[in-house]
Amino acid sequence: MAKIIVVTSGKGGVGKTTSSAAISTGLALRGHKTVVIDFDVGLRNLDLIMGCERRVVYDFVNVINKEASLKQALIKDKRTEGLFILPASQTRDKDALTHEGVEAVLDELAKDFDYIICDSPAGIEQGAQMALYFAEEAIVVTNPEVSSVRDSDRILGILQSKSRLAEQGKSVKEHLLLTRYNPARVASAEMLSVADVEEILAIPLLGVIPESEAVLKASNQGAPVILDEDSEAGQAYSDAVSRLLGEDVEHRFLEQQKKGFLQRLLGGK
Amino acid sequence: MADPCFQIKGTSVTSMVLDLYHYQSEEFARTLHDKVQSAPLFFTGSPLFINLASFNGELAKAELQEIIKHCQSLGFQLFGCKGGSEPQAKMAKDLGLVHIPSSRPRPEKTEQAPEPEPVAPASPAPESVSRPTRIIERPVRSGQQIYAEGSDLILLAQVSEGAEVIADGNIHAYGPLRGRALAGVRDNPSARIFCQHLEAELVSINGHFVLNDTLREKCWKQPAQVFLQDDSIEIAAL
Repeated sequence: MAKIIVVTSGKGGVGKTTSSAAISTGLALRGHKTVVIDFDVGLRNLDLIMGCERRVVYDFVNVINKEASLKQALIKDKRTEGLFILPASQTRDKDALTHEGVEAVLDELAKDFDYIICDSPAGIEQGAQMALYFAEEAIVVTNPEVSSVRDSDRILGILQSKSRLAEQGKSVKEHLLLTRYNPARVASAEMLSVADVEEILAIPLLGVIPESEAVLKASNQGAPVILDEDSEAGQAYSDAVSRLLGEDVEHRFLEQQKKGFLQRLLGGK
Repeated sequence: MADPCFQIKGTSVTSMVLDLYHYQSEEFARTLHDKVQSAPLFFTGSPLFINLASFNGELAKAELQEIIKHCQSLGFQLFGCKGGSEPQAKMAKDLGLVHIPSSRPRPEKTEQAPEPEPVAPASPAPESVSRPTRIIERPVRSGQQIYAEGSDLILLAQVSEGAEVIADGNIHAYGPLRGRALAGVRDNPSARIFCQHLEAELVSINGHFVLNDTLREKCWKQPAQVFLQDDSIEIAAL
């Protein structure tokens, strides 16, 4: 039986899709058969970040409307074995998603896959609620700034009241993923620290992804940043995947890196 | 589009209930009369239904007719009959009463009805019924609202900014209290708010409130209690 994990945040632009791409790739790299679904119908981005936009023929809405089979719509990732993408429709809107339709697709996927990652759209409306409804676990992506933290708090409330598990009187397992973390700006009090965010949200920390040029580069190249093993962001995502799988890994990249003499001389980043 | 001429909605109506334990015509009439005499204005015109769930034996049709007559003559508006056996339900319907299905199984017949006051109409003020304290174990997140109706509210985890916790009684917050807390909202000036970690956006007792700015001056992030003294909010360390 597959584990359904939603990647959500409430606020837009905090790195949900980047994180969905990285984490699903990371799970597949560890040998778990994984599918990542783009729930952002009408504003599809996941296929761009995964670098498969030219291979989209059928999409999630086609499958829900039974215009195409799941097999036709799933895109096999070319880089990573065991990773599939179910893209969103660009031409429809979020009302095209129905509870019954989404449930039928998830049930069918659950037969074949170990992990189903749902990349949620921003906001707290129907699209986002649909993405989180069936989830057993949630990765709440948060930036270290007050509005993002507030929106994450809001989405946590929705997770524990409007999801299927909540309706059954159970609770969704929560993970905090702090992205765009910049230790230098935290040190100068321009940014909330990990401790600040943890104190406000009070959920377990899955990972801290440092702000990195590698993320933007990866997005533009259509290759999930986790594949860039030299980058701090890639390593941090890899650590987060380990923790998601239950391993105990120490958090890295929380402190400001002391620049060596040569680095300072050469203006290294 | 034409305006619809009516709308059907769900509602709940407060009514009195007469729990009937056993029936004897004169005794019933006398007891009911005495009861009404004790507070004539309170009972006149009151909607009333009879609860047969605890009735010992079977009520005859003639007896039910008598009860209806007694109630009407004393100014009650008897409209229904709750519980009882199948034939009794049918009988009530035949006499023009609404039958309300019993909400729980009939108690054992062996259970003796309390003797001293055989006919006891419903407690006079349903609002004064105290309910069990509401306990919330999970965090109350931004955008969520928790209301403890007619009771105290205990919050074991945090209350986030943007969340609202409301109680007719007291509020006890054991996690950080960062949202809004309103105690004694239905005219209860003696209600208080107790918290381990006061960081609220707003605290209110019985409609009087203070904002965050005022709170920051005293006991901020400390254990504190909030109460009403001479119509003004007081904050004291715990």
